[in-house]
Amino acid sequence: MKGTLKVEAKSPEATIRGLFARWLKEGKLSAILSPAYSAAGTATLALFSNPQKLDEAAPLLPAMGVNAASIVAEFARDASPNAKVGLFLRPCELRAVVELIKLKQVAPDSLVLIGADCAGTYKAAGFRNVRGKDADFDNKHVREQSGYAENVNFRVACQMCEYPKPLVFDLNVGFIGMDADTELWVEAATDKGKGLVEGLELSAQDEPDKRKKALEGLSAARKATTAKRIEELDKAMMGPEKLVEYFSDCLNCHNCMKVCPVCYCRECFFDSDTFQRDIGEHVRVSLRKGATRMPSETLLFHLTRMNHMMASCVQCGICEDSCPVTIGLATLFKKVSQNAQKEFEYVSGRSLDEPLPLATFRESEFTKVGEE
Amino acid sequence: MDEAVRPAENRRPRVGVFVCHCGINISGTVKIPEVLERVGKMPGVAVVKDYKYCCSDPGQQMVRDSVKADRLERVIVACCSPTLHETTFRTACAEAGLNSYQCEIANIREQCSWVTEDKDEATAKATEIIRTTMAKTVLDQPLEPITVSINKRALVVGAGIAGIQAALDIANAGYEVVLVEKEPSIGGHMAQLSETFPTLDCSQCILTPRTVETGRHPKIKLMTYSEIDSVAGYVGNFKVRIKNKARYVDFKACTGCGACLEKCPGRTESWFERGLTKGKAIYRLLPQAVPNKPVIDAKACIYLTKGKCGVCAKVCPTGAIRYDDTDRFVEEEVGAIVLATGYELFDAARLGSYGLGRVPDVIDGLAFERLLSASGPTSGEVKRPSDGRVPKKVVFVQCAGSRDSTAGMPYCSKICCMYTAKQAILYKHRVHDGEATICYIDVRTPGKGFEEFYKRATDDGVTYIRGKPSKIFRRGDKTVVWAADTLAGRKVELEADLVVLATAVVANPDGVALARKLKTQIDAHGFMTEAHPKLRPVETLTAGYFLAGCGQGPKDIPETVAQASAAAAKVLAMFGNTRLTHSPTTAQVDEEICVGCGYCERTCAYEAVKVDPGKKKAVVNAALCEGCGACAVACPSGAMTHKNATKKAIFEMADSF
Repeated sequence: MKGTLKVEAKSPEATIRGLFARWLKEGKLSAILSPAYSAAGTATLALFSNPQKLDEAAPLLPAMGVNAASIVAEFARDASPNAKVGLFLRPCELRAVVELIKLKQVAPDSLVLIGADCAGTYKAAGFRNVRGKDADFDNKHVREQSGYAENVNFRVACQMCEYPKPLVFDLNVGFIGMDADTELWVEAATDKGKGLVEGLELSAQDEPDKRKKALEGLSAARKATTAKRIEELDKAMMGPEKLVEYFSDCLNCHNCMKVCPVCYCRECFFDSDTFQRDIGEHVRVSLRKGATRMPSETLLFHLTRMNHMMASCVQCGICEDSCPVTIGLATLFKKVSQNAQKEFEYVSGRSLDEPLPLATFRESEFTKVGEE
Repeated sequence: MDEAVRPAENRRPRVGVFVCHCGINISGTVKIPEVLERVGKMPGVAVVKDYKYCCSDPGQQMVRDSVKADRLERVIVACCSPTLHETTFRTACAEAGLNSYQCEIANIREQCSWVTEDKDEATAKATEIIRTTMAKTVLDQPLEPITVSINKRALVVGAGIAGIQAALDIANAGYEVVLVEKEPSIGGHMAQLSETFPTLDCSQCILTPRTVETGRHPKIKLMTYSEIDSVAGYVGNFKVRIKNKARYVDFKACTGCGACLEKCPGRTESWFERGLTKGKAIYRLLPQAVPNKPVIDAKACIYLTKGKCGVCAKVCPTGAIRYDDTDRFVEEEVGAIVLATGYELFDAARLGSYGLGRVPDVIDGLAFERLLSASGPTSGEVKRPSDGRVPKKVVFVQCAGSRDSTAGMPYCSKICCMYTAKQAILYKHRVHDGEATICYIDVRTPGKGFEEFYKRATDDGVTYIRGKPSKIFRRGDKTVVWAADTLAGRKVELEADLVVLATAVVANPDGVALARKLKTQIDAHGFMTEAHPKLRPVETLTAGYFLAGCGQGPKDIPETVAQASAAAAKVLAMFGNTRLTHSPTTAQVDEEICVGCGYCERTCAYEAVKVDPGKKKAVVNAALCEGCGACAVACPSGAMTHKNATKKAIFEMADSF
């Protein structure tokens, strides 16, 4: 079921808030997880349940502090019989949710995946200064981004993001390629999604060509940016010596691991006693080389994380935002995961049915390794 | 470093290291005295000894004595691969009172002395191998073997001569056997054969006593027209789901009178007759079939496809026809499984230049067996398929697909030299004025009476031409073979009335599919892989599965029967125990850390790991776990580890190097 939805009072955000109110009032959803503004004007997320109290809901807020999939993993590991929680999230967040469902870290039964187009976000830290006191900021952003407008102030990962529309969703609300002052594009992909649009006044039609073209154009532009950034990255990182240098500022704080939405282990292997050495062992290791770098095992940590995450990484770049020493992780993980996923003909978060590539044996894969 | 400031090491277990010379296999390259000296300085080493053959009785006694005298807490034997003598030395340690899982092998033969001639490098590497083994060994925990009960019933898959022999041997020892055959009756390819080399006894005559005994044996539960759907469980305790395909004939009511066979108008290709004649929709493979009751081929049956006809039901005196029959599934519990899935002949239609299936009067070896067989479509008279004339010139082509890496089969099919000689001899017996010519690459006769049999063929006037034919085509009513006589160094053109291709023996495709389903190992050609090519030829690497017959590789009847009896002996040896022991070096889960993502479950080839849906934790079935470690590698958090090969141990090994 798909069609256009009329925008009230030139405010797409208020229109979506109206949908929230309706779904909560009609009992179609128990609660909705959505981007929100705190009273202080900072970008955050909130779980809304009272249709009267949606003032702080800011579904189109263009700033990201965490990937909301991490939060979903915290509360939706198990399904609850009656709960029906709507996740109004960005494409990269929904893609991470899909990966977590496949990794059995999120139970999908109590969730409704509601996506929104996203053309890019600012870092949440400092976003208050970007937005100022402009109450119409989100709508202006949508207006500007409904056609592709490059914005170098967006987060690095967003500047390389080729998925402005969610890949798996029950329902999606789109503004890219639309005249967002007057109409939004609404698309229900599943029965869950159809349940939500039931009763809405949609003017049913096929996806407008203008929207398709805008989405394609945006993806193409982003791919070009990605290629350029990866070329720069290669200069800075390729080869064992440069690789060591690339990570040399690492504090071993493991923030990148903690904020990663698909890094789902309860206890990181690198926090386990495998790496706990006493003074004697440390000196023994040091003796062999004369000197060992401290903190130890930082490079191994990053290489292992790349290895573990490459198949499911959704390239949201939240790891880079969390890095206190600004190691360029977003471009690095873009490169690593993109290359790895290409080898397995896999795209993270593209489908709930595609098997996880690292656990799937195909006789035909990597036939060229070790030959010639 | 000055000893005064060297941090004190934690107390390490007392390790004894025993370095084996392996005659000169190791000591010829590795400088043993240097290794002894360097190892002696490693922390924790209480004693280092060497011996010419550690695996010999005095060698083992040296280890046992040292464990006691030197109060050893760990033992490392630096010798050959652990696949050879790990058990030897672990047993020796256990006899001396050390837990056998605290004894490890450092492989300095296959992985060191045999791979280099550089003595200095070999010596350095042997030392490092021992050092890394030490890093792991000091962390080894004492473990006790796992024991599981045994269900003393066997499943045999495939009832050709291999499956029949294995089933009879096990049943005659007093154990129940479930014998599953996909065809409606048992006997396999042997039932298609005319006479057998090198003694020329009639295949049917020697086979039927076995098929009859199998059909009537009180300990054999025979399931024909059935297939393995799935196997769950583990050695000693398998649960097998078997599909009994719809037969459309009630075997309890059917008396096997054959009235239906005469009247059935439905026609179909006959697998058993190799396409030489049409089969009927209701059929049995041969008059001596066991069980001697027909089934309906639903695809060929006019009633089942078009809803008309019903002749068989009308003529059946006992009302045994059941058009509403469906596939049924049954479950059987067994402790051991013999895979006797057999062979097929390579589809030589894929060898386009030989014209099989395209050029008239080009047939394969099994089709010629049917022409020679008294129960075949011509009642044993040799008549060519195109016009029914008796062929006066027959050309046999050996190695049609075999020993041909371009066709994907670089191996020798082993039986063709002899069966082609036999077919030529039998042809000459039937057609006295006939000419038999055999095109061959080599004639291989390494069997009892084989060379004499080959001599007999040449004495009987069979012509052997050494050279591989390049092309077979039709000219008028003759089939022409372009060949070469490499001994005379010239091209030859042979005009034949009939051409018989000794097409390559390939693993039965259904057997290959089954092996994939059961996750037992197969080689590049689909043949099932034995656990060790010399020392464990009828076992597989998956405990509880045994191999018999051509599913494991091409072989003749005597060899097949011998292997089947060997597989039966292995099953019986297992059934002789009250409980089975299983190595405790399996995977284990730290439930505190496990988040139930299921990577381990997806990676496990043995279905030994499952995520408990309630607890959302991985659970290892230790009896099923073969200890391969794949799950531990796949687990990102380290919740899954391998007993005595923990991640800590592996990192310590890497670090110690």
